[in-house]
Amino acid sequence: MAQHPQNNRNGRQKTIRRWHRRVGYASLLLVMILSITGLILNRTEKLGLNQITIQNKIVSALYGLAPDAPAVHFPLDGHWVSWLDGRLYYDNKLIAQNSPRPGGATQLQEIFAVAATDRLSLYLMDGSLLETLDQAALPGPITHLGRSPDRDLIIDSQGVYYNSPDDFLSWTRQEDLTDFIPSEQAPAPAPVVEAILQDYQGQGISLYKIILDLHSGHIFGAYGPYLMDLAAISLIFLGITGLMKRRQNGKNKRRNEK
Amino acid sequence: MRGITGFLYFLILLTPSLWAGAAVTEETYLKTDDYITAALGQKPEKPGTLWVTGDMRPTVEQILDRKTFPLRYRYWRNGNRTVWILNEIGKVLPITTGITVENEKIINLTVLTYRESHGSEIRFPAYSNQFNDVTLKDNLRLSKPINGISGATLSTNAMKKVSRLALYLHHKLMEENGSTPAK
Repeated sequence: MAQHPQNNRNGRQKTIRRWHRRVGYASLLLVMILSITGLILNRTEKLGLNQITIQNKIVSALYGLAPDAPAVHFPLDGHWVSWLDGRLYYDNKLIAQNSPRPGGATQLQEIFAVAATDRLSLYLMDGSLLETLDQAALPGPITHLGRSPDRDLIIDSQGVYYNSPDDFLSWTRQEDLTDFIPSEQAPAPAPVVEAILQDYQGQGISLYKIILDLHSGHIFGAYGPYLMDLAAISLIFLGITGLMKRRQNGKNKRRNEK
Repeated sequence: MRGITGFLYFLILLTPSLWAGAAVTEETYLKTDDYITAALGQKPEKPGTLWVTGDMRPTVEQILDRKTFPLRYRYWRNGNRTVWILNEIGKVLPITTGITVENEKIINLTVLTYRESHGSEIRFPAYSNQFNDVTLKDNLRLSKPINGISGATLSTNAMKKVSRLALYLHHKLMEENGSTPAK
């Protein structure tokens, strides 16, 4: 026996209403988080979110505040150059940020050098930056860094060794490698390790990062972004089912009027 | 309902987190050597260095709006034309920029390497050509306004800083060599 079209319509209407309600209740909290954080993020610069840092137990627990990679330490004469997650330290003094992981650091005559693959930075003994040499000023990518016994810099660039006779303005090949003293990592003393870790963790987390992670769902863990995606999709679903309900209500109203 | 379900599946397929790995990393548009060669005709055998000491330090500090910067900058020179390769942080990572200055005017500004995830539009000539013929005023500002790019505010600020710095360093270099009167 065929079903009456009116019953079909009512059944579909009920299903839409039921699912609209269910999805609405289920996504309410997440949609609110998504909307409010979105509004705040649109005003990041105006609110100065990048300048505000938060440090408390909840944030520390949420973020772990553990560096992405372990620290590396290079000994100089009585000092240490350390790197931790983009931050470069001379003993416990922060001397550079957003710095690539160094492959070596060595003591020269009145300065010290810190090298990454495509960058060589020269520092005075008080930790102030003298100059950073990039690819244009280097003979090639730096594979190893070292020095001679006279404390002249020697660069190993893919198996070819260079020294600079004129204050790093040009490079000459060095064939005799008997006196090459390579820079090597070494475990730093506990006070140095603790000091740089404390400095690293002491920064806290920027409010911008927390709100962004809340918005994207990363703060809820690895599956958080999928949760927020569902919240966003549920908004679209609610919009569509809301329109369908309204359209059906309109039809019913017109029919009743006839 | 079947139509809605199909539409939702389509949306899920479009969900950005499922694509993953959309973050932009370092992009080099022009090698530094090539830029210097193009700007000067040939790359000089050795660069020159300009030390930022004495009364230059407060001025550079004012231009860069920070206290830490290198004690010396290197340049490549041919006659009155100098090339400066400068790194300035946009949001978190340095943008490598080549700037050619001649007779106290910028004749070219090119973004060589961009490392941020947003704002790389500053590399387009439509933006960078605005710096052509710009000079440095006595108050250390640029002689004409530079239009920003929506969504790349920090990168455009970095470009303004390096252009001011290059003009200032060029001026000091020429002054040291007696080519220009002191400001």
